[in-house]
Amino acid sequence: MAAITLNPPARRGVAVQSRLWTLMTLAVLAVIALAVLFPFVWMILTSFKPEAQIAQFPPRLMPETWTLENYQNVWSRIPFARLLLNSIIMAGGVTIISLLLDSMAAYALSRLRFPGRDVIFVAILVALMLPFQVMFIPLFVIVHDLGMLDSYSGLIVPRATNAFGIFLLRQFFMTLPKELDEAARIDGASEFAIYRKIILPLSGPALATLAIFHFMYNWNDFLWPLLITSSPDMRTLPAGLALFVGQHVVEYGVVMAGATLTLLPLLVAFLFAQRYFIQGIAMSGIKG
Amino acid sequence: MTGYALQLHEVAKDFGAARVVEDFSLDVADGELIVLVGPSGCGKSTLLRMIAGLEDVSEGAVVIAGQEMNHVPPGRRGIAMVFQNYALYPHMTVAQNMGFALRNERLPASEIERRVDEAADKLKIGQLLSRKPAQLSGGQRQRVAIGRAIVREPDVFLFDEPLSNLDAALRVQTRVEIAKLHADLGNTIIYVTHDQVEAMTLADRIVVMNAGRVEQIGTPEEIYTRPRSRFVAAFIGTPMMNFIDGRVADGRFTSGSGLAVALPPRLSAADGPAVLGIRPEHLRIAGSAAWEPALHGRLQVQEYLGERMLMHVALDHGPEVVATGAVALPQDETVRMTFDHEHLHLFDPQGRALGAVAGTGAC
Repeated sequence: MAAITLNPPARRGVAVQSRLWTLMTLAVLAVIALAVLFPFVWMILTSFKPEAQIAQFPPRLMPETWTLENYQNVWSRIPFARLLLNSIIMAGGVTIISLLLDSMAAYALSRLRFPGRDVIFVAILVALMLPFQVMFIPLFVIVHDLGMLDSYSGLIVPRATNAFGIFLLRQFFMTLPKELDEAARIDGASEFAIYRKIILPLSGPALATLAIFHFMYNWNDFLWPLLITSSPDMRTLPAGLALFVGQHVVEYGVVMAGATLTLLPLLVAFLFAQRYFIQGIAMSGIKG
Repeated sequence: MTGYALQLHEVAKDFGAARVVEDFSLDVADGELIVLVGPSGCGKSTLLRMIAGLEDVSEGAVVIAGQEMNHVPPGRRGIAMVFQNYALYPHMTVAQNMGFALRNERLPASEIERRVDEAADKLKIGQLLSRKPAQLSGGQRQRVAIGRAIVREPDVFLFDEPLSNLDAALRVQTRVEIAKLHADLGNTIIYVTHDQVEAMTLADRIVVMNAGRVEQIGTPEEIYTRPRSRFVAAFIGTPMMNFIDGRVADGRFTSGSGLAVALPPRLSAADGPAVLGIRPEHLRIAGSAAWEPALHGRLQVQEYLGERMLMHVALDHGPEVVATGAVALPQDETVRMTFDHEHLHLFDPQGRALGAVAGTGAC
């Protein structure tokens, strides 16, 4: 106490230092935020430029003349509504089915005792480390052999469960006290009832986080839908926009308009789910 | 019906190579309250979990209401369990928590409501029915956990250290309530605790366990007055019984350092190395005029407890013992302690009680 009252300049020095530190932190964060945002801003502004201004040199950020031509082109030259529907079916279907199967697998891996459980879990972790590029050719062959090319099932079934999802949910389920299952077991609940009535309702944040991960990943996915679909009516939005990328000419304006439209639903969904998303990441101890 | 609510026949449990419960047999009469007590890791919780069906039985049989239950799932054993940390379902209201088991049995909603209300009435938690567990105090959660067990009307209640998460005052209060509830409902209860006061106050019979084995089964009085082993003698009773190492010859107990005590007839048949046991309340600080036999020592510490004083005395010829006194004495005073022969205990070097130990009740 005495030292503090006798020595106010030292305290003021500390306060100034900490405010300076805060300012520096904010400045660094602002730079990073700008760097992240810039491509999006560029994309949106480009989508309002006439084709001539897009390629001009030196490049300009703001359009000299604003136009909606690119948006009209997106609507008229590709079946945009159909692609949007395909995207919703694929991303939504994968999200729902994968949440169900991931959580069931995670339940078994975290709650049940059976021989080989840990080996299976390690195998799943290994699958987590395999890049998609390694798998897509055999996967394509399998989907072809099953006769699922150019169909919703071809888009959805290979994604119906996911190593990352199983891992994330298993880690979350491990944090739920075992006494809850035991109490439920004594209360006469079946294995499925414990999963459905005890574990799932307590896993809201983790499930919401995973739902967003799955939805975003599949909504934005480009390579798999492009490989698996051949008719324009089966394409998802990112794969459909590839129609504007020719061998020699890329219609940037139209692609940017399409990309902007593709982004909107995700943005809305994220704004709504942001709270759960952050909570879920914090709870499962996984940082994006 | 066998007249027994629960029977355990030579039950054993192995975890890998380790045997954590060994050859455990017990018949529990209808309406009896049995307390399993012992230090942590003695196997008492494992035993309870085997009765519940949460752990497999490695050997032996668990019989509930006359039926072997070894391979019957927990929900169909006619048991209910109260967990140490309550294990209430956090996302359900109190009423939903209490009715969960009944919903699993697919009872009609009106019947569930009636039984939940009845139990809530009995436990005075009617006003909490629509709350979630997070909005309850520790004592209230404990009541809900008990309520969840009551609504099922089980053959056997299992309590796994139900009071250890409560503060001292609430623990005493809840203990009394459990005793009342037992008197009221007349249920068979198996109650696990490491707290000897809970064991002594609640039990019809106490099972003292150590390292996976039964040390003694008996009424609280039998366990206290006629412990069959040094372990039981030391575990039950606060402060702990005093032990003095020595040997017995010709009806006298002598310690290496020169202490000599004449033994009563029931103990005098013993011979060879032995340990003498006297409880602190039977070792009284006496005036110089008192009659033999007596121990002498020097007062080290005295603790004032209100109704009595605990005197820590270093014996002239032996270890420090705890005795009971009525008045404060000067530090380092030489004191004389008397005892009754009938309250002496004698144990062999393996810890078994020696002498005429009266029947301790069949296992």
